[in-house]
Amino acid sequence: MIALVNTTIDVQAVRRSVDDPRFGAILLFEGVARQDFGGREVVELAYEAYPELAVPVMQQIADEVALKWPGARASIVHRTGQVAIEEPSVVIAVGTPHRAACYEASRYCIDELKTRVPVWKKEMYRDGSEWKANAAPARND
Amino acid sequence: MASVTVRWFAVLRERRGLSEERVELEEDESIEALYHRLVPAGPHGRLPVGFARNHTHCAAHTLLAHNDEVAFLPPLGGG
Repeated sequence: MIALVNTTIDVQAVRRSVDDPRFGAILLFEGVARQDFGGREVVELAYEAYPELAVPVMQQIADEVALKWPGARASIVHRTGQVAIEEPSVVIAVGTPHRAACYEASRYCIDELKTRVPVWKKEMYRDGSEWKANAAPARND
Repeated sequence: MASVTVRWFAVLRERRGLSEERVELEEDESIEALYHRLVPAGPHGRLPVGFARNHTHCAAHTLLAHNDEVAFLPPLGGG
């Protein structure tokens, strides 16, 4: 399952999309809208995407997972539009035959998404807003 | 006259006041040259962007052709 959606992500549907009797491990990752950022209270996030490029790149990342960790499958769903604090902005489900590959593949998906998928985030404050870029080669966020 | 569709996103969309527009090309214009022509450098320089042509990432020196769809990609914020 690869998708951009403009309403609340159905987390369980993403989870179910990687169901497979061959899998011994399934990891569900949620990137969640966080209230505080640099001391300024964030009241909401707004996401914008270039769908015609974002969806193929998300698919490409999922395809890479299947190549790098044979037998693995990844689903990636990202929000667009307004995202409330504590709501997921991205949900990634990865299934693999064994757990070590599952952790690695899940991490790979979110790291690659942040650096390659054309999606932009605007933090909305009580007194303004600002477009926020991901830290350059962010490998430890 | 050759022309392209330019898609604007995020901070560039807001500054431009448009999501997309039709732009006439100059002769042998690269995607980076078009960006420099449409987005003049400010006092702090110019926003670094990635480039995409016809829904595919491309190099800065890529030459544009009639009816291409061009996108300038501001620093990403997904996740």
